[in-house]
Amino acid sequence: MMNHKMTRMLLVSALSVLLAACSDPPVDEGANKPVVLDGTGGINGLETNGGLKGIDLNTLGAMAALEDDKNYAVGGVQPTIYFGYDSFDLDAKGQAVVSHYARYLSTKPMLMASLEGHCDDRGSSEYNMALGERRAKAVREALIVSGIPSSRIRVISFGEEKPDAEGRDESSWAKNRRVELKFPQ
Amino acid sequence: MHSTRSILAKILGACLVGASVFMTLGVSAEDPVRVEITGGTEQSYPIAVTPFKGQMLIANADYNLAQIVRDDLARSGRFNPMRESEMSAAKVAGELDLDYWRKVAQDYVVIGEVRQQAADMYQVDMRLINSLNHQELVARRWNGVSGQLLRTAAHQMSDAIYSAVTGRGGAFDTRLAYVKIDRTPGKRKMFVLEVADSDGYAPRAILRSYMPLMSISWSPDATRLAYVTFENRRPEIVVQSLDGRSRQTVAAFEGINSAPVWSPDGRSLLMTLSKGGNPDIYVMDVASKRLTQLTFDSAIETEGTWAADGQAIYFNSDRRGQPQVFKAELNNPRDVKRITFEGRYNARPVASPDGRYIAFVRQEVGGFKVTTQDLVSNESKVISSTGSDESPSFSPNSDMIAYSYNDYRGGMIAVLSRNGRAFTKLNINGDVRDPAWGPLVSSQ
Repeated sequence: MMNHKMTRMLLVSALSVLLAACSDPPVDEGANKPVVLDGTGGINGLETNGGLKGIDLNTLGAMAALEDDKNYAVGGVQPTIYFGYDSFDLDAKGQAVVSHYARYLSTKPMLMASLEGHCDDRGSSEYNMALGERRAKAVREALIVSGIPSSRIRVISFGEEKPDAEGRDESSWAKNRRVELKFPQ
Repeated sequence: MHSTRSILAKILGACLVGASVFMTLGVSAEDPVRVEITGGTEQSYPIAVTPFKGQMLIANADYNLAQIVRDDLARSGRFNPMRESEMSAAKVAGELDLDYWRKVAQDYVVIGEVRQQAADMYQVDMRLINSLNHQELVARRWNGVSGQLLRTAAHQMSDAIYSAVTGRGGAFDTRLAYVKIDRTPGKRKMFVLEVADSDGYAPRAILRSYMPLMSISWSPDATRLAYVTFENRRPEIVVQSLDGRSRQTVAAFEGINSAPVWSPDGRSLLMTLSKGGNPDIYVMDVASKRLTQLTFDSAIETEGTWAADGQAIYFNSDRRGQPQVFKAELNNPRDVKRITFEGRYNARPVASPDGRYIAFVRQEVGGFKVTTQDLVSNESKVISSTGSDESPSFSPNSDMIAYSYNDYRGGMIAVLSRNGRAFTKLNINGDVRDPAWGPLVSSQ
């Protein structure tokens, strides 16, 4: 009984957060907040939520891809640097992308740069998280060498969790081994 | 009724038989009742789990008790349950004829009966009998079982049978936590943290998020999960109670916060943090949030896991250029010992709760494979035949390993017997990955 009451309270509060999020376009932190559900109840946590199933956020209109920082190309150069398998070395092409955006950043001294490291999904996901960070840091080093102060650069890793291509072949994997350069507000 | 004495006699007998086989074949003994023949197949116990009388009282076909028990035992790789279609209908329907079952080489026979006590309320009896010596090894009744709990009762039967025959604890009445990716067409991709029974049935959602979730670890009392969430657009570690009443971010430092693993005593969490400049492993006292750094190399150190005694950790480090498994003692973490030597990529180690093995993922020509290493002999053995394996997780009795892999349909979760003999893809709908096998929960 208590259990269900608590669940309902949680769901109601989650709902109100979501509804608030919906009325507040275009970007709202709330839309990315997960919804907590009650996974127990009954002996051994065996019953299924007393018939409650989690609410479907999609029906609440929280549809837009709100999670991303701005990712835009300047001067026709895609702001993505690609890497070889299990590698965090910048090749000439990657270096050219970095140099291009280092020049752009030097003309916009207030602009921050966010570097998101990604991997293909082969190998273990936690190691890939570290590898994604290494890739982002390799790009950061290249930006610093090009004169961008480290205080303007933020580094994060998504490991293998946000692939650009979902296929399980070399061309998809190559697209996923990347650092995306973004410009957060 | 069976007596403790008869079980002891049985185990002793099996020890003697086992020991003589080991001597003859010159293979090492792993545990008393196990017979392993190097390079060949392993003996598995033949068992006839006969259809339960009164099964037709249960309308839901998912609640076929005998089949649930057969599937459980088969998944362990240590039993070879007879198919129901191979059983003599006359013998199944008639009085128990142990001589018949002995003649068709079924050393063990299970008989059961279901009675309806009320609407959606059942009483179930189960008996396990050795057909060779006619000893009754288990005779147990489950009373007042609702339809929803019938599968759980069946798993408890499997545990009782497993324990009586092998002398090791069962681990069928346990749960798996994992991440499901909901790819409903036309909708935004969603990540769902789910908990299901150890055979993949009865999934229930714990958390839904638009941002990735990964690296689940159970608290040893099975009340809380630690995991990594990207809800703030970067990896952070959250501890959430299974009932959803508490949820707390425990690590949100600069850089990576990942790979949380609960200590056997439930007081601390291992985790990987890169706040010091590169990924290293730390241990956090959960109550005080106090951190102690355990690895110091400038390489990637991640995927820490506790040794069974909680006094040491195994972890992945690429300090030699490629991921390999190392070990460090808690009281002297700078004294690091390399554990894996075969293969160029050995990652995501996990120690078996009995302390005998580690499992990890090894890169082979055929892809990434679940591999075990015997910590006594140091021999390693690739045990999976899939090739994109991740996230191995031991059952609480150390005899099975859940892991995830990919095929053209997406992510799958499978259970391998630790001996590599049995592979079972679990029947979980959707794109799933990252299984974490929960601890035994004392039931009833």
